[in-house]
Amino acid sequence: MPPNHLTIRLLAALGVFLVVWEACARVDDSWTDGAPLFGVYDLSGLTTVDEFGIAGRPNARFSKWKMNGLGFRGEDLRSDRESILCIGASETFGMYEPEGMEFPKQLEREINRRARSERYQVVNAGLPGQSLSSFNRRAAAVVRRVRPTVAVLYPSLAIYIDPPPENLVRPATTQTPGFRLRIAQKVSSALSDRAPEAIQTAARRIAIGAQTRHRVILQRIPESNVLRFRRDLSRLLDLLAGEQVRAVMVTHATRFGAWATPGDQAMLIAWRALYPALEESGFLDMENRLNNVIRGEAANRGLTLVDAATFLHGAGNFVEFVHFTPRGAGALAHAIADGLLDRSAP
Amino acid sequence: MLFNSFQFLVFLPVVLAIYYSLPHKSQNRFLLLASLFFYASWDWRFLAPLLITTSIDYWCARCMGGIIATGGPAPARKPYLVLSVAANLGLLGFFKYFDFFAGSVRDLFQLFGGHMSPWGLKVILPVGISFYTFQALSYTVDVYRGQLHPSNSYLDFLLAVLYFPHLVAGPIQRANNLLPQVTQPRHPAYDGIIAGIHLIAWGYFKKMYIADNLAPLVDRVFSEPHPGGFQALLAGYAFAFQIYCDFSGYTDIARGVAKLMGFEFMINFHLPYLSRNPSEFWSRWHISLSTWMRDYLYVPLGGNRRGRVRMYANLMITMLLAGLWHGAAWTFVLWGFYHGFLLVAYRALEPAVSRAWISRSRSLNKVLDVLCVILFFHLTCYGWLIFRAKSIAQLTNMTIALFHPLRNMDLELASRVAWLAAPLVLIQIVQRLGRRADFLGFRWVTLEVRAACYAVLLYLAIFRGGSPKSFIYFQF
Repeated sequence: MPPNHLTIRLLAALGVFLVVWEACARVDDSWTDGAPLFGVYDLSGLTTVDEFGIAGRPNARFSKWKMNGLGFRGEDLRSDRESILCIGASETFGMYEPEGMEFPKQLEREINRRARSERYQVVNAGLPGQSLSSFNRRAAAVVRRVRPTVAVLYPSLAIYIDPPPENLVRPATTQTPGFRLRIAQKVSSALSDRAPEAIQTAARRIAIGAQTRHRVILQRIPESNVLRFRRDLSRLLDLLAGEQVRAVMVTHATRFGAWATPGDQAMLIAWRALYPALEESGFLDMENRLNNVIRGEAANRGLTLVDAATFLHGAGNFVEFVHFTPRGAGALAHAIADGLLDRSAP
Repeated sequence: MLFNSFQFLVFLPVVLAIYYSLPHKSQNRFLLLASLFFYASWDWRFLAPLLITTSIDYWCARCMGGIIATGGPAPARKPYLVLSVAANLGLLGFFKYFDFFAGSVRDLFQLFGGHMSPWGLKVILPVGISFYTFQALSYTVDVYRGQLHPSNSYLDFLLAVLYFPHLVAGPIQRANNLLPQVTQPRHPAYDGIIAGIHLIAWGYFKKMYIADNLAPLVDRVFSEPHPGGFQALLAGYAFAFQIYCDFSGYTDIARGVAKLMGFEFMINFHLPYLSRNPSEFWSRWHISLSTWMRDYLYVPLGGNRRGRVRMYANLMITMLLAGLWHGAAWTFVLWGFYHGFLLVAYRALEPAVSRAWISRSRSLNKVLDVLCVILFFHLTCYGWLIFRAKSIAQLTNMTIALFHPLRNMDLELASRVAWLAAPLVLIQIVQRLGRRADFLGFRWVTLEVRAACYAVLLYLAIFRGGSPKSFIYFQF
């Protein structure tokens, strides 16, 4: 075979290989998850962005995640149950736990077990990347629709490293995203599952370096961000109080607990890869200061506080830095159930 | 560094890229360094016994070569052969069998009412020790017999033994096959590279999709205290496919990687489950070990040259040692005995059965062949139950269960085993009917069609494979 001809044949074979791989990924998704053969099928399909920020896409599904008619994870609202609303971000939504093991679902089972009835339905209003300020804008509508008696607040704090401007009104982008290679997503996921920690950490360091080359790096988050969190939290608590909803506040727990050991450095870098503007050393300081805001609000308003940050940590409870293992989600659910039913937080 | 690890995914392209850019002599030196790195990635301390025994083997072979060159008598070579054999088997015995024999002596002592406190060396078994000691032994024995000229270069000899694709789980290469390939310049051709990619894709599919998905099903049955007969039967089938796909998958990847560099390894498996009898099975299963056992144990013991009784004894000794080669446990010895018994029974009955059964009708003969394949497959599966059992008690449990085949009809398990084994069975039938090792080696299969098939195989291996597991034969 002439060399030029061979090169063309090899390139054609490579092209066929990639096309068949993509086709395999789509057939596989369709077969195992009932996903559409065409169109986007990834985590971004579960949410949409409207003028207030991120929102759940009603009845969307991806992999183990299924949204209900209101755009919340889980089953549809039942009128014969007393609703408990869980407000938060990806930790509440549930990222790594198998279906039914995210903390709101475990909380529902636990309080129903203690009540010896199917009295309660816990509505999971957590969404990946959802900040308190974003939720606040739709909070009134959500509360009136769900009519909860209790709201459990487990806000994600890292969003306050670089929060979006207050009262920002974005153009709505409700249309579905364009074409995406599903095989690329699967390859990336397989690599991050199998690549040794050292290689992943090195790759993250390079990525952080590239993203922060021309930016100011924060040693710790500015006090203005703490005040912003306090304002967002107060606004939500005021709204809940106005709607006669009892608020249960939960401090944000991490794998590290009160301080990180040298062995935690790789995990801190993994966390920072999502928020490169803040030094690794600033993350636990941020957690501590924002958790103090939660504690302060709970004390001032006489609310039930579940101080998860003080008792929930360690590799057994967290898959990575903030997302729970089934055990960690279970421990949090038990603590919240204690706080809810006994009115005495741990 | 397992073939199915991320590290190997990085290691292989880097090695190939550098290898292709070097001249022959430097290629050999680089491959030696790469092989040392590959082996040291498990534990660098394992390099010490490997380098010590290969050095002894090289020196003994050189001395024997010197004696042959000067026309010295054969007995003069013997001390060097004894030294090489003692070094290799001593190393194997120390690392692999010392604790087993010490434990067996203690058990025997206790059987007769004596008391002996537990003792043993509790050393970690160096990876692939059974494979590389047999490879090195074949070299010195061949030089002793005058069938092979000793290597003039220590580094070339070292590369032949340490070459990373075959180092830890074979195929057990003979020095007379590999050494000339090391010393001669290699020119990987287009067809060789295509064949190498074929073997690699097929090997990964067998290992990661079939074997790794079957493993938890087999483990589940073996972990049950009282398995049903149907489950035990399915466990036998499932483990038969698991171990075949695991080991032949490794071999295919090894052969494929070697082909990418212009090396040619011997075939290690040739449709073994389509064998009609035990003799045929052992000429198709782990061929590099069975031919090694034949040439360096069975034939020196006298083979079939000293009468029938002696032949049966030789077969039994060979198979018992082949069983023990697999692992230091009585279940492996029993597995060897079982296959020895099948071979002896076959040799004893075969002439009479042939006379009585073999018809002149070709179609009837084909039907008989199919029945023999089915019968012998089931006998092989029972052998695998012996092999897989962790203890004699567990084997007894499984054997008793087989007498109640209708208990615990686990149809879900049956469908999963059938689903996973189906692609292998279909492809092997294509191989058998098409009489070709490369099941895509038909004229109408263009490069693009091949690429599409490999895409499907690798997709299933990577994204639908079971949780990554070590290769079963690594423990041997």
